[in-house]
Amino acid sequence: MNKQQFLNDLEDILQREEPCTENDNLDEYEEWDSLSQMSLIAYMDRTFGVKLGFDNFENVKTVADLIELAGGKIGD
Amino acid sequence: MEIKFDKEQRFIVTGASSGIGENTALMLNKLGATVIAIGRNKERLQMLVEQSYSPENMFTEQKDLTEDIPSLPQYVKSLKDKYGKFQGLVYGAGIGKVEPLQMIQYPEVIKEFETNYFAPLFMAKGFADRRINNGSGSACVFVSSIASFCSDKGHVVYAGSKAALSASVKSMAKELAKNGVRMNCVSPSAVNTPMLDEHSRSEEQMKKYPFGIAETEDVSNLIVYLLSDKAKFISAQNYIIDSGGVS
Repeated sequence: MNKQQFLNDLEDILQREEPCTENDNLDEYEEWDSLSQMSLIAYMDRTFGVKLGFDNFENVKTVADLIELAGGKIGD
Repeated sequence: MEIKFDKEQRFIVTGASSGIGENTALMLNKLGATVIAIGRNKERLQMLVEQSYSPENMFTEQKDLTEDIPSLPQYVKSLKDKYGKFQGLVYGAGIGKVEPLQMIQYPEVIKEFETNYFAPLFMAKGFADRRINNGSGSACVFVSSIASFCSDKGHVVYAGSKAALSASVKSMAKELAKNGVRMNCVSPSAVNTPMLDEHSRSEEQMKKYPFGIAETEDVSNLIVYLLSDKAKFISAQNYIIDSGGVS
């Protein structure tokens, strides 16, 4: 999967009217909450086999940080 | 108390070609809302438009919701692109067979769960998307059944499918509360619809209903109330309408 595909999926997971970009600060997304984090945990597991917990989001600030959580499975 | 809607408030009503869905569609339309009525029977949907108080605000979509359940969220999105964002969803479609445990067959069990549980789940998934509904003030009502609380002989599968629906609606309601979207169920006992089987009309059964068999309007009244802003503090509930005593 490349970054653009992930950004499209993220837009759907967060149900955003506006597209997501890599440098976006997640704290500025009103859609970024515990439920969307729960959805992202399910998405990462289903798509990449990466198992995350809520703790993994503690140091996440930007969309780029989310890409990092996929452990190199999202290419350019 | 007066309940009013305006034509910018659009409601999807499934199972609209007969019974509770049909009556709810007509009631919402009469109270000023725009209705997108989904049903399988084209002729009956046409009759629905003819019976409407405001035919110009009654739109029909012929569809069998079980033919491609995974694509239902995309279907709801296509309706939003066609009509605009939605204020509410009424899931009135349902099937029920009276079959004791000994007679159940797997394909029929699946079919009943597809209509009564899987399809409403995926319609709800489509509606719940922030890009599809109006946000705060939006509401869904799912028609469950008294069987989900206390089922009778022969309702092994039907009761299970409706209990599954009622249980899931509670969870959905908690997930969507943050967006201001309310989710509720109504659980009627016997209602005078084409779906009501002969067993439920029997003399023995009738003794259970002190107020008799409900008419569709008796259920629609509650559905419309739950969709309105008069019910703005009510979510994650499942209301029994059992003619005074079955449960």
